[in-house]
Amino acid sequence: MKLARILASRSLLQRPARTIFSILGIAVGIATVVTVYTLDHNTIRGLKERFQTETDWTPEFEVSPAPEVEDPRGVLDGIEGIADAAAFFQGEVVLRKPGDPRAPAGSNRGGKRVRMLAVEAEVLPRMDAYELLEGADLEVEAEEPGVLVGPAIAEELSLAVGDRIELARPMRRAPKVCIDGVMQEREGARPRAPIGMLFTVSGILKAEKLGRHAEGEIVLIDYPRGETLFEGARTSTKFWVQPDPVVNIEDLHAHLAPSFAYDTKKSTLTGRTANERAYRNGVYMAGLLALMLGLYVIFHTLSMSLIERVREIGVLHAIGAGRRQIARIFLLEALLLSGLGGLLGLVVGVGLAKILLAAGITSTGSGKHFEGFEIPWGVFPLAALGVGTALLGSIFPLVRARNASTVEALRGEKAMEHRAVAHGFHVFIAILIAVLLPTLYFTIVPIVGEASGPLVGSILLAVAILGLLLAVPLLIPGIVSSLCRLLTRPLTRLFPFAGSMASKTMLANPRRIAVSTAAIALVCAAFIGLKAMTASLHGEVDTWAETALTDKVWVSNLPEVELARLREALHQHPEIIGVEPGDVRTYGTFLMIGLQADELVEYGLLSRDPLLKVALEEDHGMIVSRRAANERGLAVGDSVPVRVGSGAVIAFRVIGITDEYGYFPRPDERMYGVVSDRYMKQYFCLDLDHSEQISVRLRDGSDPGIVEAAVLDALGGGGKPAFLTGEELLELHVTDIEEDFALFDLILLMTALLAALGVLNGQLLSALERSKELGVLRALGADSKQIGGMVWLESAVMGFFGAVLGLALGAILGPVIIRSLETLSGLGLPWVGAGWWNLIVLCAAVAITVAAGAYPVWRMNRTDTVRAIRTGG
Amino acid sequence: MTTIASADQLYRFFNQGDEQVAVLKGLSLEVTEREFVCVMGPSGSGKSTLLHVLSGIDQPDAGKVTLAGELLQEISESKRTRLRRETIGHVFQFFNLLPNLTVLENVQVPLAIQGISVTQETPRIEAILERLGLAGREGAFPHELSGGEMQRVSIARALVGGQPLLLCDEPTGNLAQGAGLEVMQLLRNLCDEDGRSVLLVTHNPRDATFADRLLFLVDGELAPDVELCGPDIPVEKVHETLAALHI
Repeated sequence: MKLARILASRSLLQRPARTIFSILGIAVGIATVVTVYTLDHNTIRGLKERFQTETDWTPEFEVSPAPEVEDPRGVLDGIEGIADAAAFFQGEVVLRKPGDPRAPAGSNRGGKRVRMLAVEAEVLPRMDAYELLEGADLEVEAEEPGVLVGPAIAEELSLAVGDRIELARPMRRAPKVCIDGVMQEREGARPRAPIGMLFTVSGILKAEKLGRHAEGEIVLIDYPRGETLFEGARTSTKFWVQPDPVVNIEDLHAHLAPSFAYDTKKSTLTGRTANERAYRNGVYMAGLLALMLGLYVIFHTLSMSLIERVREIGVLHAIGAGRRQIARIFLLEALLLSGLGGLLGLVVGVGLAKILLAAGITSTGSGKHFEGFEIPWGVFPLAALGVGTALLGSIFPLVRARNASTVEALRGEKAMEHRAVAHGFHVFIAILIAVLLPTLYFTIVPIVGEASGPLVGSILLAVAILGLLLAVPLLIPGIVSSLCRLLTRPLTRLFPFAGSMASKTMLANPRRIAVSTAAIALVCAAFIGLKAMTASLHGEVDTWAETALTDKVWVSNLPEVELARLREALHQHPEIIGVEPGDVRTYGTFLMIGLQADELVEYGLLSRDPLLKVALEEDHGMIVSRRAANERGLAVGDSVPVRVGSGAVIAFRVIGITDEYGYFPRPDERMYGVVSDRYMKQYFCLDLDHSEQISVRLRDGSDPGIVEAAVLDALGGGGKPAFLTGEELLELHVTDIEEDFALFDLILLMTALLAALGVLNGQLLSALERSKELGVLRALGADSKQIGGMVWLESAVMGFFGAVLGLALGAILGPVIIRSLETLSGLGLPWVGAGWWNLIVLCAAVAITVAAGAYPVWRMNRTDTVRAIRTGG
Repeated sequence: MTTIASADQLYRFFNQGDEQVAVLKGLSLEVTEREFVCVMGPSGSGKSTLLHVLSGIDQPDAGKVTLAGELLQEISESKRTRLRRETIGHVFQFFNLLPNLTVLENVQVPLAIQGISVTQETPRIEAILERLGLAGREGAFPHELSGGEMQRVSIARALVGGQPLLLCDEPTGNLAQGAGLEVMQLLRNLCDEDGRSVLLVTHNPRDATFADRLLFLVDGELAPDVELCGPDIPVEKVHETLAALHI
């Protein structure tokens, strides 16, 4: 007989309730974290896949220096958070095989026109921009210039490594650019004369990454060779920038903005936009909370289980089992419990993540659907961590069990229940949690690694508050149990027997009461913190909506109609004071929208300061939205460089910050700048005459129905435009927040379940421990109601006190969460508070703890009185 | 005769509040091979403490304990455990069966602790269970047994390892008279037929009549020069002695 195996498995099978609830406690804790992790992994994977064009390669950042920047390389080197930067320019070249009579040098005849990229060759391989089918990277120091050839060219021209080719600048007409709103030849531009240079093929690119550019018809040469090849011609040098993996992308934007126009690869921003980052961190925080609570429940369940069985330890020792053998038995039991819990948690967590993703609930909000599902490898170490932690939870009681007195155990005395033992155990938990939690958080949440000092400070403050919450009841449980006892006193008048018994039990088991109370407090504090957060987000939307949505109507799906005619028709109605077209837009540093200044003067900023109209129209003025100002750190007077259609970089000046102009729901983008539409025409040759969507500003308090009538009248029955009022739009945003936070509610529900399991486990173990006492009470005539009332009263008081403690801590935690969220998202979040949720949480906590008492009560009432009295269990 | 266990000038103190109470006060005792020794005394006289100290699960504050020739104070905790495993079988007043194991599994526990293959020992275990009247009850759990049955399982567990010394702490204390007599006869037979030594502590005069040697523990000391020799010590004689010692 393998003693450890038999004893451990029998112990689990003979007490199925304890086993099931312990496994459930571990499983729910692990499942929550696994769900969060898997959900986030698949969300980011889905978003990235959505933005990737097959296996094509684009740099994380492509930056263009402003004309006044003399040494862009030096400026880039001085910006923190840049891992690598490679200067490059691109152009078209003619490729010939030397000696080919059909393609004489110095002419455009016969050669093959291909895309050329001249890039700093020594940096390029570090950017993982290409893969080689054969050959080697470009050698910077090589005497004869090398070239990497795209797969399509290599195949077509039967090129191999070592072949020599000639690359020449093509003879071509001067290019057309958008100048003053017209596509025209650049002044002074002349047809380019070809310059040929011989190159040796040093490698053939694979049809991946850069090898896919121009459908594989591409050549890569070193940047200085390219400069020589295009000497005298106008080239536009840009930089590919590889950010440091832990940099805050938006901080990097802010550093780049003064000297560079930049394009960011969409996948670089995946999950890193303000809202997404806030949301993802919130999800991780909630997951962490669940893990914390899970560990708490696991620790306590296992320790109580061991304490309960101290007599068994004594017997085994008396009949000759060594301490190591005993330890092995209990470790095996802990391993079985935590292993099964871990496995169940893993399966349920992954399954739940799959269900949530299928329902469109992601770690960046709701309503997003992604193809495919992937189980990230990270879930296995996470589950193993949970299992390991559960094992750790059993180590301390085992260590104490080693020192437990066998004699006392044999006499049936509660050797392990000594005050110092439990106290030491809780100190051990507190230290473990204090070390484990921040480590875990910073390990599994990469975003925080990028974050700034204030955020880390906020998170540590939150962890410290939670740690304090756990530590106080654990280290001074007597206070908690005495307060609970005090709360029970008035109830003793209503339920004399149950009240007095519950009161005595609380006094006798301060640690169990303290741990359960702390767990409930933790969930309540988190819930209130979350509700305060959603209330603040609501508040933020309300504040924004007040300026951006009030008295506005959005009209979309407009037919081909001249904007000027539509404007004229709409302005026939005195209630309509402005019309903003939504299609005069381009993406540069951020979204830029071109609006006619005349349409903006009767409301908002321009109505308050008419001089701004002149600045907007004639002085490259830009009105930025509050989010753009907040995230980019822009203030009135700041310069915003924008690369325009001609390739030049033009500096716009911030003349105002407001959300009163330029917001459009499709796409929903709150970070933008408004410039005069004449600049959009001048620099980007955008069509100002037509737009498929407009927003119409009404005089304060006007009936939005006017817009529909006016538009339909103006269109004369053409098209089927859609109308959306500001009020409806606000409703949509609020619903979005509520839907988005459904995931948080789910996570909190799981943590509430965990807390309930913790209470249930505590009550159940207490019931098993006290079976003899309960047997005696029943023998003395106590009925089921009295015994049940005793437990339910105790549960209700614990729930109430835990909730009160949680609400108090939530009130402290709420502002910390809001502050963290503000730091993370750059949103200006007002403090609103959780309001009615405080009362709801209080009632729910009592209800949950009372419900958690149901099984122990049932179990107690099923106890065989005779057996309980005879054997003590 | 070879001494299997001996105690020499044992002292053991316990704290009761602020006071230190001496439970054993210079007690000396010897148990030889094949000998059935009984120590009688009232509740709280230190009987159980004596057994705990002799088995090495408790340490005396002074004095020496020798078990199978080894001085317990001079060996490590792990050696003491091994020595106890190999030398002593325990029979407790409250049986102390492992509640989650069946009768058979409870009996097998000492073998498993010693790393002995249970399969090879099955015929012997079955013979022990047969002898103790537990045949057919192998699959029962402790809560399904009567008090007498539980104590017989406890004795079977003490026998299975083949240990030469049985330490019995009030083995009939929780049993009805009939069941108690059965258990005592069983212990006597084990001494006579199997050659085991038995050290019994009890406050039951009837149980004491089964011993070869009866000693009296009064206030932590064995009553000097008071020793009844058996077997078949008349119960009246036991009562008389107890009365003389004001027990």
